[in-house]
Amino acid sequence: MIEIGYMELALGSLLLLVHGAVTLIYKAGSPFSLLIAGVRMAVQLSLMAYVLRFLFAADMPLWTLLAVLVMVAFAGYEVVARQTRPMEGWWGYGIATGSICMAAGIVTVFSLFVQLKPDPWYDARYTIPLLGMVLGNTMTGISIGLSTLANALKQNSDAIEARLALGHTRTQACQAVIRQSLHTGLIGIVNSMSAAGLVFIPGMMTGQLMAGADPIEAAKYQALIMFLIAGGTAIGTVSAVILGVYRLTDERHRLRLERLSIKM
Amino acid sequence: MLMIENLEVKGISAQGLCLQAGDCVSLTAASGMGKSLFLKALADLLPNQGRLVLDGCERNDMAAPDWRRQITFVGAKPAWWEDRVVDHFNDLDWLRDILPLFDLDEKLIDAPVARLSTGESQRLALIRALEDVTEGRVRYLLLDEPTAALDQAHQIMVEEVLSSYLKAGLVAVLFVSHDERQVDRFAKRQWQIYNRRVSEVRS
Repeated sequence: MIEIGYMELALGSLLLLVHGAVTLIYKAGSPFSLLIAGVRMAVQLSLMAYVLRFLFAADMPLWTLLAVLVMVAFAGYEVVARQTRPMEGWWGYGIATGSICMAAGIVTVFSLFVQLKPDPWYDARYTIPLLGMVLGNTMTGISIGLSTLANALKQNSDAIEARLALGHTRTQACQAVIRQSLHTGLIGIVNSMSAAGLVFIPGMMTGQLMAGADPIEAAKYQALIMFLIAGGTAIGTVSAVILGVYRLTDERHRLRLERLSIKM
Repeated sequence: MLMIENLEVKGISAQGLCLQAGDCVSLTAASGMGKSLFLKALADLLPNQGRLVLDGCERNDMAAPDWRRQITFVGAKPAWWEDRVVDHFNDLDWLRDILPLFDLDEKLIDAPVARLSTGESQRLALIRALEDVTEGRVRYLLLDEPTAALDQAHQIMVEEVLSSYLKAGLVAVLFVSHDERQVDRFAKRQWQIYNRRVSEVRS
């Protein structure tokens, strides 16, 4: 494997500066958004690297569990932070974190016990990267699904109320919106599975190839990961959207959009 | 019979009012005094408190969709959820027969809802609320300015269709109107909202 130096890394980030300059010149929005995200990413990844080095060396399941919990909590927080209209109070966090926990939990445990079978099963070298990949995609699916749900409910509130007024149940009345939210939430993973291998080589396979792995082995690994990611995203998005619909309506089958807050 | 023993929604209250088959009642108040709120609360489309009794059965003992199939609110802004008119109806033979009574063309059945005029949309929304009205199960129609988009000739047409349903004892109508002539012409009783209270106007 070719090692990258810090200088090369810094040079790579120059492209973000170019974007910032162009945005500044054409006054096309904040020139810092990409930069800030870039800096955040670099800091988080290096922290993660140190944590992983520690976890691999320590070989203590409790520390691994702690890392897992922190990752899940951040994923829940990120989902809510990305919403233009998150649910009021703790509901947004609750629904997002609950769905993430369930989806990532099912998928990670399933793969650790059925496919990868590391020894011990909680080996941090497998659990953490696996969970990370599933979490990242599940989080994106849930976040897009819930945003679409909130916006579509608001946009179609007249039609939904008209259906409710005619005696349709809340699931009947919200059917089209549910379908749209699930579709939009899952479109990313569907696209990346469709294009994988044709248009691009997915990140994990790229990593393994560059680290010198056999292409066939790398492809097998990648396919497994894609299945897990897609499963996790699907479970998480469906659960979050359904819970979201139940939260934004009530047991008397009324639309309760006042339970969405307006974030400035 | 629908008994409003008491009802409270966002500071507006009503007590001891009732509606029964054949009743045609107008609801008047200045704009912004909560007429639509009150109708929606009757249909249980908004959070509200109170005790409503329908033919001896209390509202909270009924599932909300069942309640609304009998206490049906038709909003001032008609809304559609499918692309074409036809997909909003079950009984197309019935629809074909009733359209001429509202001076609507049969061709509208296959029209895309986006192409409907305001007046057509308003009449079709009312027709939608009349579908499957049957003997023995009175439909209480809560109509929020049902003819606001219509000229007088068409207003009277709508009133005549509703009158035939009223005479047959199939429906009760509670309607909001800003048109005094319509209220005089069509309503048998009048309710008003004054000082945030809904009450019957004694004539």
